[in-house]
Amino acid sequence: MRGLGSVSSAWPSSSLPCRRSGRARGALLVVMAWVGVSSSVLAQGTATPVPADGAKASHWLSRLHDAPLKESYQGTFVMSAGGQVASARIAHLCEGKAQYERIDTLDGPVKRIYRVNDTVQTVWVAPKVAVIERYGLGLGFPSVLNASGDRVSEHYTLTPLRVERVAGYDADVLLLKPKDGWRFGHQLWAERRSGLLLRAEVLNEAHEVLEWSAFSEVQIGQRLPLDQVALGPKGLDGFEVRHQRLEPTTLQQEGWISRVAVPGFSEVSCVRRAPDGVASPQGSVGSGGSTMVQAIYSDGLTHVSVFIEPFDEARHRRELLLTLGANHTLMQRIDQWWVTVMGDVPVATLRAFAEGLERRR
Amino acid sequence: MALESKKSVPEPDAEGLSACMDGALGAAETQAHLQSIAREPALSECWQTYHLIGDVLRSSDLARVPDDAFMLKLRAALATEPVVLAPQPSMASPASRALRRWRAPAAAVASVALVAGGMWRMVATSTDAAGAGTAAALAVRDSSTSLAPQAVAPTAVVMGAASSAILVRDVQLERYLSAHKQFAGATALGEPSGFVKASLVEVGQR
Repeated sequence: MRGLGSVSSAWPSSSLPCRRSGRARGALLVVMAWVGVSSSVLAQGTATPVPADGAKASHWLSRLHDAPLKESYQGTFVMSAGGQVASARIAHLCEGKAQYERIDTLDGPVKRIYRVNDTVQTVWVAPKVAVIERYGLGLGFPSVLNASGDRVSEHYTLTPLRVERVAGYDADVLLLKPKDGWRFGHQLWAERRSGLLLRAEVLNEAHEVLEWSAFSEVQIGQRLPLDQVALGPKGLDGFEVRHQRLEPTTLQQEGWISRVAVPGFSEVSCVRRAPDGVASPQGSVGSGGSTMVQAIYSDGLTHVSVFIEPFDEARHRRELLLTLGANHTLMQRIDQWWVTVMGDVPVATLRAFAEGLERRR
Repeated sequence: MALESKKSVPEPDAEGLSACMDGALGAAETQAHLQSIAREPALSECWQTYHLIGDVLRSSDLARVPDDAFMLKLRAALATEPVVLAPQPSMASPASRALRRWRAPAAAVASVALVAGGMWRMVATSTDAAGAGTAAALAVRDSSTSLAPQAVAPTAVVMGAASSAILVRDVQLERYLSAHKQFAGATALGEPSGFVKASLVEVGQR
């Protein structure tokens, strides 16, 4: 499959004046916006709304979760947040219990991601750098998920709305409406047969779409040969290879007490990141040479990260609040510490997390 | 800058540089600009920054500040070289001049948005302004530089009153986001969706 092969840099290397590149970006946005519009225009509603109880929520969510464990597919995935759009080519292969995935970013510098189960290799082609890391460390799969169906129905109301056509497939449209103001709503499109998530929207309380992601086209059941989805043994020859180091820990062990009182969120993991602990060709978070602690809280449908690192005057200046689509980030100083709280949740939720954090005496 | 420039050639300035880069100036004007770039460290820095903006727009891997000592040496060496240039015919109609007038500030904004970043929307900046999560309080701050130690320091963030928010991308923030999305497996939607998003978000931010 050539589509997954080398993708040349999106920008020509000739000395284009910058404003022209800007225009090209605009054009891309227009094209992508059109893709979004056309897919919703194509959509047709049919079924009648059926209210769902907790069991139904569990049923739908486990279908969504299990689909990638059973189905191979390949397609183009588009995401839009904060007025920006990016897309990637995805090939997913299930081979027995093993899962292989290859993602080729289609915008910006050439980057390829190879995943084998929870081991992820991120390959930057231009500064020949590869970062190898393990995702989801310490999450205790699958217990988190077994519990999440119930937890989700405690805090969200799940309603199957109708059937719509997305990326060429019929999909059940599921609305997950939050029962309180601590979280955002979600609208999900699950392919009818496999349950594969074809489209997802994050909604605010006014039911406005904060961000969306969708397959613009996908072939479910398409299996690529393994050597096209996974890196061979010599695949990283000539690359600088870095290993990301994550150590499981607890907030208490790190000298913190979390008195978070956000209903529904519970701590699911806590890790310590070495100074070079986040994948990037340039460097890492906490590059001041100090380790950083990351605690992860989940309500079953979304998660919040709390990062704690020593305060560094040069890098940490002022309290910050940032928004990117549905993602909000709050950065603030707590004594000699710099705390970053991040998640696809309302700002009040982030504040509650930050305020609940206390240094143990 | 007080230059004893000849009558018909306008005094080289940042706006002119932008036009010069675009090949929109006549031969005489271009020559004058290039000569003044060689003379004036401030203009030369400006020239360099504009090219850097263009570079970064094409690839963030080019977002590197050149070594000062090296640049000084290079500049001294270049000053002794004759300026070789193949000027394009002037296209400077009154309309394009008017266009250029807004292009220069636009370039400055682009440098902030793209050298420092792309897609992070600064909604509010101080403790009091940040309440309630509304996008009502919008402020421009000077500390964006501190957030992006490896990026080229954008000197000042200057936005027109009409703009509703600044877009600042930050290498550091991107990495927090990447670290955050790594744990998307903590939700019922599972790893793949968060995993894909993490990689897309990075890409989207340019």
